[in-house]
Amino acid sequence: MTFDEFLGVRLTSLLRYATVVTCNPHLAEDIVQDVLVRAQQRWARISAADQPEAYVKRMILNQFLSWRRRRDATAVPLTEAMLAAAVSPTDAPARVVERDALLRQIAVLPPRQRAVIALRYYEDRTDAEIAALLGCSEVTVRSHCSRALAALRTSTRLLEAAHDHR
Amino acid sequence: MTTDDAIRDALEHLAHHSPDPERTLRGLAGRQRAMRQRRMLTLAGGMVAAGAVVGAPLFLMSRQHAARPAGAAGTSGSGDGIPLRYRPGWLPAGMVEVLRMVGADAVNDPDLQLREWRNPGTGRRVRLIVGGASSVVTEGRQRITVQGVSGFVDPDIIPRQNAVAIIWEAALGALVQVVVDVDEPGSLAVPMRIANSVTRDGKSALTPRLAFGWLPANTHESMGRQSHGSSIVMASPHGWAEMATYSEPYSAGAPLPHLDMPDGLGPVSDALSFGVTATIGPVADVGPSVPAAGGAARDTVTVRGTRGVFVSPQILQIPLPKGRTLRVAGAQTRPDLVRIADSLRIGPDPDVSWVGRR
Repeated sequence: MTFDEFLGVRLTSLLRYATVVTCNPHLAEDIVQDVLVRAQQRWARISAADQPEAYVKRMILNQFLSWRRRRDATAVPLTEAMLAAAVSPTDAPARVVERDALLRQIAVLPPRQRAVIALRYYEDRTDAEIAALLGCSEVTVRSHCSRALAALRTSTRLLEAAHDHR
Repeated sequence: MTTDDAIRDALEHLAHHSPDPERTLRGLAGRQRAMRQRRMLTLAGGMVAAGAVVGAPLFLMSRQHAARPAGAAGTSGSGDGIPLRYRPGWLPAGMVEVLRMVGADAVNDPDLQLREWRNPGTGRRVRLIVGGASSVVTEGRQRITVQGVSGFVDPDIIPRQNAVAIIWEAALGALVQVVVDVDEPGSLAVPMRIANSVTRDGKSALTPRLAFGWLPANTHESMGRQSHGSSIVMASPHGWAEMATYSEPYSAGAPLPHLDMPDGLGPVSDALSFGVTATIGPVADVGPSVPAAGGAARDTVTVRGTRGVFVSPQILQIPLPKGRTLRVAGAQTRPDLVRIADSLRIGPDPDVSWVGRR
């Protein structure tokens, strides 16, 4: 598969993945472009791998977690417009509010926690796969996930309490 | 809905609002073009300044200290070798030539040439690039007239450096770029004077003596119908060094993978990832070809009829006559690095009489 053929088939998937990992479509586009420029240079090696898409996704993840990106990745990742765009007009109001709150909470998680959440819930990766991708132990993955979920559940409970109060 | 379901639902909705692929592709094309340009323009300066070629600081020689190989003619070089097409007729005082390169963009521009002059005292550089049309960004650039023809100014061609580029077509199909370090951002007086002085050379040449023979299959296949190798001869603290680089395959349209220096790493580092680099230089610059203290016997190997040393798993150093060292580096197996070194063709010393001269 040539690089151009790969882009034709997988670019949308890569952008969706990067958007979920970064919680920021603008940063996602920036990272995907950066990664693709580098991937193109090594395409012979990447395309020879079993799963080129997995390889490129790993590059995206590493780029997101790299120190150069960290500041961008933690800086107000979701704007109101992005949140509005992530909400379907046909959704029930309560669900919209819940999703909004969750996305806000996910967006301010530390990068590695955010990555774990994205990999587990969007990519359906196992702890072992996530550990391999992040270069850490499964225990660390579970720790990141546990902390992230605690923060997200707090957000959900607060939201439910607000509903109950009304 | 459980928390897990809610998270999945939220992320799925977020994913649906990812960036437009068409816009991303357009941005990608622009980024590739800009990267090619930056690479080309940082190439010479990066290698000399960072000492990337041999892993040791490369200082600039003054003209009177420039080493001359025995028997070298005292000319700027002519006859054999690859003719260099243009030269500046005027340069600021103190500038001496420190680098000549050909073949850095074999895919898009096989005739691309780069020469660099430096002032040893100030470190200021003047680079003359012939070719590179595939990487030049002209959109939004200020138009100027150079030698009676229309050209462009790029006042910020190298990020975070005060360098100005003057770009014009000196002859049909001959794009010339003069890139000059300046005191004030955007200052045009010196760059324009140099650009207006550029003339056809007719005498200077680059005479590479290093050529790869055998290469591993994955690297060899990258040759395709066109060589991706580059040849560079440059000043070093103790004379001069020559480097040949060969990259692994990559998609057409992405030149210079073997010379990518995004993090200030040198071409040797990149070659470890992408291909093979062969460097010849003074022992004092490239390094000795003897095992380090405590080095294991398994680090030595017979190569080119003598004893070479793996100074690291991916760097093989071999002694050459006249106090020089050959270094072969790449992300290859040890037997492959030995075979690459054995099959390297090393010709007579290149003419380096130009090193350190104006």
